Amino acid sequence: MSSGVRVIGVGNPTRGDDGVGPAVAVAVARTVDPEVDVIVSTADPSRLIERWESADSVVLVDAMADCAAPGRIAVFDATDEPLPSDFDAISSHGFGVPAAVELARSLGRLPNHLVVVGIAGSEFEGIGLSPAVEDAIADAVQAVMEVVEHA
Amino acid sequence: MSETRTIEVGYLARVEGEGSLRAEVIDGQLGDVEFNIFEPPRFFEGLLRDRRFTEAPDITARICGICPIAYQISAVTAMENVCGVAVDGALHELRRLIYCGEYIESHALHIYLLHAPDFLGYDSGIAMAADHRAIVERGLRLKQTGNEIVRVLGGREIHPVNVRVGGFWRLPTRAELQGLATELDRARDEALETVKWVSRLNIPQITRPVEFVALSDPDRYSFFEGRIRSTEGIDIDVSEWNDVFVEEHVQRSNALHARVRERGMFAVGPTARFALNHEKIQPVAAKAAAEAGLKPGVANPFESIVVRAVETLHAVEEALAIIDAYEAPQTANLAVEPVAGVGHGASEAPRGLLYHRYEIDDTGTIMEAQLVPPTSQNQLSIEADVREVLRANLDKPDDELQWILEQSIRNYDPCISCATHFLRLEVNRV
Repeated sequence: MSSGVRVIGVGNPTRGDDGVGPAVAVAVARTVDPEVDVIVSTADPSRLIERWESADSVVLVDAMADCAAPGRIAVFDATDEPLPSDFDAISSHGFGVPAAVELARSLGRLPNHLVVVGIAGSEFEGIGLSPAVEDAIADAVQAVMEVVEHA
Repeated sequence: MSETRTIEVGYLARVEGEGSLRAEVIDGQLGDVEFNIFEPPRFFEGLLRDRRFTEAPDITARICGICPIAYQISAVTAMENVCGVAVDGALHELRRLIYCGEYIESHALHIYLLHAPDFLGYDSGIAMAADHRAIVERGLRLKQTGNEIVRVLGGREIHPVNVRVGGFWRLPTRAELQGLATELDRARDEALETVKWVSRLNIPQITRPVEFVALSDPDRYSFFEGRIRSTEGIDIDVSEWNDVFVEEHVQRSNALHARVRERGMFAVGPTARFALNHEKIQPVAAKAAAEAGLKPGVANPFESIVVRAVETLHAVEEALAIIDAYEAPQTANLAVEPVAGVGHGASEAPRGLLYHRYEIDDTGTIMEAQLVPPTSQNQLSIEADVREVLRANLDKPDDELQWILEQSIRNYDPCISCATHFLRLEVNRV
């Protein structure tokens, strides 16, 4: 069940709720079968293509900008279609997760199965998660575990 | 009855930040052209007041996600300037090495994912990747080599934290540098192939006289050394920037516009550097430039993609030379005690000259800060290019016109987030 499965928490813990991806990944690592790779990526999202190399099935955990409903969890299978706009990059500077996924699709370098678990955040400044996002970690871990168990 | 044609790009894609372009054509004659920056002002100069002089590199690095090293180096050299400390020898070379990383990372991103799609008829790097997999993969590997240099020397890839006033917090180990050298050896071929590839692109032939401005040093292709020089005879110390140049507020833009006090517009960036400093570029890059048919001082802004590729090759070669000659310094940083006064620092960010000026008191508190990023210096030149491109292409339909106008703005790899601290295109054909 878990062979070739990798969970990647994406985000920057010094940018408020953007740190929820790494926080969920750390929580998943505590409970999941040790054969499942769990990693945190605070790097440029264009490097995600390297991060999921050799994995058959990948679960990306990332923050979404949805200030109206912090803590809301969305699970999206990106294996065959682009991520919805909820997942667009917050920064105008970079290369966000949706662009990295689509670039990998163009290059034929997506894993066989890619699911993105998004958690809506509202505060993207300073260190620490806002209360609603902190409260959503347990449900987000559950959402990740369900994907891992069916992978 | 007159006919008005308005060409409007409401939101420019594939540039850093938020801006737009609006042009008006009245009875076949070119009217107003406005390159607008509507990214909100960011007040960094105000934020710096009352902060410690040692905090400037970390605060200003946050202005830009793609050229934080340029901000850090301009800030630390300004602070070391006012405090009377010279950081030279191996520490200076390590700063040059991390700067090479930023050039490779930033130029590879712009060449492969932001600018090349314009030349090949794709509306994004992602669309281009589907048809040109091997080429885009090469660009990503090259970019990642730059990221890796920034990670090793800077502590992390995004918003690096290891550059400080006086030197670095931590020195790299010999093994870390050796790891970089192995990657750079591979990247050399990729960078050389990049020059060959971009030189074969279909490059529009448009030239316009322009005054190029860059830091220039007798001993090397300057990253943050030497004097500010121009192709029209400017030759000043960095501390004289405000004597020769001026920043002005223009109502349509949240970025200040800079000009030469006596003459007006000028341009900074890779083409300016190559015009002024080509004799100092690494021999392998000079050879590649000559084979690509690049002539120093070329005033065709569309050739900037070739110059960027040549500079990428130079940065790879320079990084290898620095690692090869490296002997670890005695200490990771020199002590810097605050001295009341005004300090000036400048470095050649991937997009061009980045000037910082700080006034600090004897306790090291910042009293005043001035940051002049490359894009605000290039704004008048960008508008002049757009006018020239429009004039040469007025017979084209709006969609083709919009394409080449956006391409001409991307010739400058503008960083609007820096300049407000990019594009809606609107062409009005009356």
